Amino acid sequence: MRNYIFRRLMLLPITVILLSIFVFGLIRLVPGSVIDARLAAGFPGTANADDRAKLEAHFGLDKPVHVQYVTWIGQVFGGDFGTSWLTKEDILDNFRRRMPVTVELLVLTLLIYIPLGIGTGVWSAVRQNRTDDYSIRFVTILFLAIPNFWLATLVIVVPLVLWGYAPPVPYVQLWEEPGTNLIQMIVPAAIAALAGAAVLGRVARSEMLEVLRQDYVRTAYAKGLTGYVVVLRHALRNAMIPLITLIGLVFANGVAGAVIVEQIFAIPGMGRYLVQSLLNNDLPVVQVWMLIFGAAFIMVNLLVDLSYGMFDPRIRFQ
Amino acid sequence: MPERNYWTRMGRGRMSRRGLLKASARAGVGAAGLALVGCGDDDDDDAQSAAAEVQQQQQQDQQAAQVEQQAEQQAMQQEAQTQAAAEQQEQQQAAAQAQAQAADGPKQGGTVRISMSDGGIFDPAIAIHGGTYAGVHQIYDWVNYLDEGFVLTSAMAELPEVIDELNFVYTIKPNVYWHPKPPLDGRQFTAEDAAFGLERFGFDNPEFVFKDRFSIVDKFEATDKLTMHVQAGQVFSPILTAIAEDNMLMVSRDAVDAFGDERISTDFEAQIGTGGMMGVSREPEVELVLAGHPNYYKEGQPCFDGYKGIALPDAALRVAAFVDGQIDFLDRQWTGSLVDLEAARDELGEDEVVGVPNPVTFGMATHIHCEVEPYTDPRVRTAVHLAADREQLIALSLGGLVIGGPIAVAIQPYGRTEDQLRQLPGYRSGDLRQEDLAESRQLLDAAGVDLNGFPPLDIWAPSATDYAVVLQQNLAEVGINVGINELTTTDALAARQNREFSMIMLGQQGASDPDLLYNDLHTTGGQNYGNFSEPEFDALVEKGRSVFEVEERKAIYDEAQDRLLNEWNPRLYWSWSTVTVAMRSYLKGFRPTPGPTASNAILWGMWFDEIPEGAQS
Repeated sequence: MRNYIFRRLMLLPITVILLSIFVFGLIRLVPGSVIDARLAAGFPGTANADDRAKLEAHFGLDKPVHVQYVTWIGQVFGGDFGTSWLTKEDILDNFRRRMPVTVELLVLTLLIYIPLGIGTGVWSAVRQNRTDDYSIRFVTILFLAIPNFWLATLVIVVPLVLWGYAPPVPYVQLWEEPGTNLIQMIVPAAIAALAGAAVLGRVARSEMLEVLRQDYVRTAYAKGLTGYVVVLRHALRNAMIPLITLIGLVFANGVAGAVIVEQIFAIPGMGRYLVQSLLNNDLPVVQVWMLIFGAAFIMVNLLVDLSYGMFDPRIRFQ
Repeated sequence: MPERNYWTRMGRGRMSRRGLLKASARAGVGAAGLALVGCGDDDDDDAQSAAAEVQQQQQQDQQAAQVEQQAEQQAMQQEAQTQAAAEQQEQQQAAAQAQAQAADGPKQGGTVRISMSDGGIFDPAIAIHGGTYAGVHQIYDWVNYLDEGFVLTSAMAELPEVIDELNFVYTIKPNVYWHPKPPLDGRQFTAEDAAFGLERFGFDNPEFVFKDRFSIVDKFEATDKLTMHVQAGQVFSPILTAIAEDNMLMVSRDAVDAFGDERISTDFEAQIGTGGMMGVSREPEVELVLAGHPNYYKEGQPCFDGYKGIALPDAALRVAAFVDGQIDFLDRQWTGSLVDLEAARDELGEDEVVGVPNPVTFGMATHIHCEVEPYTDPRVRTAVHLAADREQLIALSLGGLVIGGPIAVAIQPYGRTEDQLRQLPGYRSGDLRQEDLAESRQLLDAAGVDLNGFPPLDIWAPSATDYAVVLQQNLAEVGINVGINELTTTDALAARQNREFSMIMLGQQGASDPDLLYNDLHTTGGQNYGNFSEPEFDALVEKGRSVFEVEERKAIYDEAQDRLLNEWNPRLYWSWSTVTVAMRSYLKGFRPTPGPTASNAILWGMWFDEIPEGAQS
């Protein structure tokens, strides 16, 4: 186990380096140039080669690509994420300010996602082919089909039309006004969680149905254990391995969801930062953002892999 | 058949009656401001003796006085015409409303709450993001500014004294003070400050975007504490308008020395101006809080105690917050859409929401590259012009666009109105459009082009996609088979910038003066993206730059527009934007101020008739 963890941790920097090259290259393959956009916006039609050269030097784009990469990655590993081309603000400062907001959103998303997904899946399996099973399956398919940006807009518009209610604005920090903050965050978190919970519910249902047909479950019932104990202690634990994998993916889903709901609900988190940076060709922000979340996703996957052993003692790490 | 024009269409868009009145008033008043610009002297005789100099000076003074008097008369005449037109439209209702407001008068107090787009950039010299104006237009102020109808209006300085066509003297008002923050500490605003503030736009900083604005100015010079002399190197009639444009906000040398350009651009703490509001706090992409400037030079202003800008990027949330009473203006800064306005009215009722049309000078155009086949032939360009169905194109904008010609309708008296344009080939409908289509086909036959060999139409997607599809169908009516090439905003801007297109549908930059035609289409024009070059046109717009007298200028630009549309067609003109400023009806005193950015509305003369819940200071 220890060796396994060590090996995985040793691979981490290599993976991150490869990721950084991928991110750096990918960003530069995106069509369009920030220099062209700046010149077009600022010097409509009048820009000359000198203006272009000055701007390229200003943004450090006058150097060869490999030099740009080495400079950038060296700065990132040294803790200097650089400054935004758009706002000139320090990117690390922005991350520090925005990360807690998105982490809060992700935690709330997780708190809704796991109980809702597993709960509905287990209930649906236990009550197979009954009305509540059909209802749950219908609703999960519905939420799988509805795009979350549309749902988010609907959640704003419907209460407005029915009751003249709008979510409170502007955004307030959790530690300033916890009540208002929770009102602002719970709905976006629920929207970010719903589609994922629907997937989790459907997988949980199918896993549970398979486990509930196993001999040891029948034996447990025969021993006189209550349904509650059989389902939660014996059946669910054995159905958890694929669910853990899915829950690990909630991080990626949550971040993707955050990009959308933060924009719609005016939440100043990491997702909104990415959207704004992308729209403005703010490459330093986009590439650091992708690198940080890519590295975080790798870490989450490692944790998920390690957690398998907790649920299934037969799994050994070699 | 009922009369169809810009104003009646806006009326059908259920604008408020007062808004309609104000908007129609705007059309007439524009001449007055431009007349004030026209205080020049064409006499360039050299003085040979002191007596001659005195005589010349007297002559100049007399002429200047005459021009001023003429401008005054024109202004009065325009005002009278405007009033008459307005009375015909909504006399009783508007008068009642005006009386009600006059009786109440401005009231002090409350914090106005506005949906903003927080660009995080505060330097007026780096105006690359619309969100810039959320802060800077409140914190900084102008030497002169352009009021409703582009009327040149005094701000921190009186209207300039026109010495001759090259020399202008501004007298700074003695009661203008900087915000009481270090390093300015509330000191007086001086001519030195004004000279630096204007000069700074031309400083050699790669990010300063108005570097060419004053390239014709030899010097901005403070001759004493409150007098600034502007000396132009060549005759340039729009110079006073350029100094008053909505970007031309005054940043102090002291602040630049203390904080540096970098912090002036990005650090909210470094924002020290002379504007009606001064910075209190900013939480990026959340809110911007400002408080009233205690020594603001405009008496009784600002009426609001404070300003709160709230970042609401999504339209649904903005409308919801507006209906719920959390913001007083709908949409970002001042711009808005009729769709949002209607949604808000549906929820709150007609009387609770006021929508004021605020025409701006940006729009959509289709740039044609005059050096790319088959557009090298002006007959082909004219055929395209005749085939385009403007009514169909602007219908897609749901009231966001008006039919337009080469000069924006807001720039009066130069811009053509929708009614005027609808009489012209290419803008006509019904049977007359069929005639235009027939003429288009004849021109294409005469040009002998392969109708299936047209290069694709580049477009700014997705914003222009629907318009492009309509244009594609229009061209198909005359047999032209053209494909559509969708580009991202960045790519579209780059293609236009690098002249790598044959025909491209993109935004049309705003301006405050008909001289925009020089920038757009003169052989050396900065925005002549299609490399149009026509000596006769060049001569016309060069002449337009040297003439101060409004009627004479109008004749020049009328001829230029006529020939553009009838002979040259280097761009397919079809629209200019109109913006609807939507606000709660408890806000009073709003003045539409059209301009290139649509965000220089004069806020500090406004007041709360009743301070709503949540807006108490």
